[in-house]
Amino acid sequence: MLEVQHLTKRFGTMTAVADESFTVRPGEIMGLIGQNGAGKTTTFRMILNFLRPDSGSVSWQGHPLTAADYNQLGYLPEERGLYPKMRVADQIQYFAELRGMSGKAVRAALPEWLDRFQVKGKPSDQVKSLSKGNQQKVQLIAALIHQPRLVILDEPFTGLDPVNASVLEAGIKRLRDDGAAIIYSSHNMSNVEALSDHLIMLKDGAVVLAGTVPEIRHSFGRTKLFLESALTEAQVQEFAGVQSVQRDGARLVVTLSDPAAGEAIFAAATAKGYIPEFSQQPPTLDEIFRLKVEAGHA
Amino acid sequence: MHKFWIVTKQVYKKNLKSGSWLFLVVSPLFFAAIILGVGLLMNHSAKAAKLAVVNAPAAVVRVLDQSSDAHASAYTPAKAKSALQAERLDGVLTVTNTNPLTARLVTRVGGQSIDQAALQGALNQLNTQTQAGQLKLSATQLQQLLSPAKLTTRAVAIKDGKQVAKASSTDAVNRGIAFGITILMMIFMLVYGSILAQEIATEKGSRIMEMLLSAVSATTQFFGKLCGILLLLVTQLGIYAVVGAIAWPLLHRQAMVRQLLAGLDFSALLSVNGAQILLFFLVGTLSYAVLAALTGSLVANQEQVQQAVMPISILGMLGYFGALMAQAGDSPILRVASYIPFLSPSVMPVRVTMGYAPSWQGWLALGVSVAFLGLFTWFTVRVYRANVLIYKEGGFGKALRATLAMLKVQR
Repeated sequence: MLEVQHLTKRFGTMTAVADESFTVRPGEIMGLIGQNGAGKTTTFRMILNFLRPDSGSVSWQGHPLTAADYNQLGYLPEERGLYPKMRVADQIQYFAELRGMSGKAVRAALPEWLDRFQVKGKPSDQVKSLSKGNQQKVQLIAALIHQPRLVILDEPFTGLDPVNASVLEAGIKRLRDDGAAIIYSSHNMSNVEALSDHLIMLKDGAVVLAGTVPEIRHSFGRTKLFLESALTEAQVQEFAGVQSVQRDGARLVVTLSDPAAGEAIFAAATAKGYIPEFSQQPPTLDEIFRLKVEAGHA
Repeated sequence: MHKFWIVTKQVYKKNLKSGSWLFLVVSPLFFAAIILGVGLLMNHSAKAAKLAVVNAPAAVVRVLDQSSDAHASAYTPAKAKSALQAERLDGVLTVTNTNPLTARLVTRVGGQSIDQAALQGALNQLNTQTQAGQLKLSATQLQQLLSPAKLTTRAVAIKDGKQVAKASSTDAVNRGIAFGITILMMIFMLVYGSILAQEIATEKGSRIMEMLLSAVSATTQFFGKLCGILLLLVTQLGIYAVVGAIAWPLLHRQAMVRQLLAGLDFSALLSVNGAQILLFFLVGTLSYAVLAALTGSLVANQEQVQQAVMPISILGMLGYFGALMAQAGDSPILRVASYIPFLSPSVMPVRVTMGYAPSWQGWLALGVSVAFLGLFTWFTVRVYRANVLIYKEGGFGKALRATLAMLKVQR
């Protein structure tokens, strides 16, 4: 179990991370979201012991993470890089050996991993001959082939097309099912929503959101209403608790300031019987993200 | 396998297979082989010159045959002329008078060369014997007459107004050895320093470093790399030793090599002085390797890799010129330079070998170098670790300042 407690880190006058706490249990995936410069990478670097926190602590299985725990760790840095002239197999083998895996075990496991991540290229190919996306997958394999217990992935989806992103998603879920504690950062909220058991949002180093995806969304109330009925925009706008109405083709997208307004709108819309759509939802993660980011800039 | 050895093995294997290292190893061998080949070819084609001796007693011909390197035999004037025309002879020596001995030498252009100095010497000797016989000198008297005047030479070094004794015979040898070692050290320090700087700069520039440091501690990685590079150096020297041992039976017979070896006094290398030179070589190479690691870890991208090598080249050149100057004479600048780390490994051994500095000063400078190497390595390991997180564009100065700031906030 990874426990991060009250982490704070300042660089000069700039506070990179302020009083950040969270826990990632084995078999759990935690998403870390936030704008560029919100403190995600700094958080990872403190977990990895690259940076010393000004206050607070990080513990892994109940003790501070040290070099002795490196073999249980899988890390994909935000900045990608491999030895361009090295062969794919040699490269992965080197990283895996550094994590305590034997060369023989690496060579035995490699074909299955290359297949699982659908890497286009042979193990004997030089890394630089591979496309960027495939290089990224090779690096992922290098970070994961030793079956780490704690996985840290900094922006793993960046640069992957939707198909490869799904391949990666499946790979991460499989690691979780094998009992690894996984923490990753992302800008892509649809990935985060689909993948995370729980998530943390950082803004200027401070935790502004924490919890499971449904918890976070529902904490904002069902303020989003998708409606396809005989009611016009002007009619809907008349209801108390309606903030704004927008037309999106045949449907209206209504933003409510009071979720209770949904009931009256439903009654009015269904007064004459059947309507194709009435869906009252909490805001999406993407909307919440924007909301939170904009909150400070108002 | 311990992670240290995994890093060492990786650095070693990667460079072993690289074209540039192979070139580094093979090119000196290649040039040595060419020089040796040319030497062999020349030796093979150079046969003893054939010299016809006309109008001389058999005893004279025998002496000429033995004391000059030409193959001399008696000929009649007519036979000599026809043999020369048929290019079977390289020269004809016609004795025109036996008392005093006078002779005329005709050499054929394009024939094997005849050593005229040796021929003149042999003729002088014959003439002296003839004259001695006429003067009725005994063998002892002749020997007394011919005994040369004795001249012994001794070079002295003046140090602090006092004369310091120095054996002159080892002077040239010392100079040669000091010069050879300076060049060797310079080449090894520059080449292996660059390999290491490039190795680390590539890892830093391509952002592999961060991934590596999450698997193995900076210290382990740093020393693993250093060890891998030193193993490469040992391998190169080992290859030369093996090639030398295999080629020895062939080399041994070469006149050129024999002359070269005869001129060198290797006892100087096996003395305390030799041990000091070896230690300086080791400390020097290590210092440059550590410096290379430091500058290599300062780069922000692949394009700056050349920049990382530059400080090593500049210091290496300074040391090299210092060593060259030290061979010409001593000066206050050199006295100071021989205690400055990075310069001392190339300057001090030359000064000690040349007799400008006593042995204890050499040990003192070595001590300073070792102490500096220890501190410098400690500092570099810390910087190396801090640098992973810094990608400052725009020069080394900025990068170094950012690094020092990072050191304060790091573990």
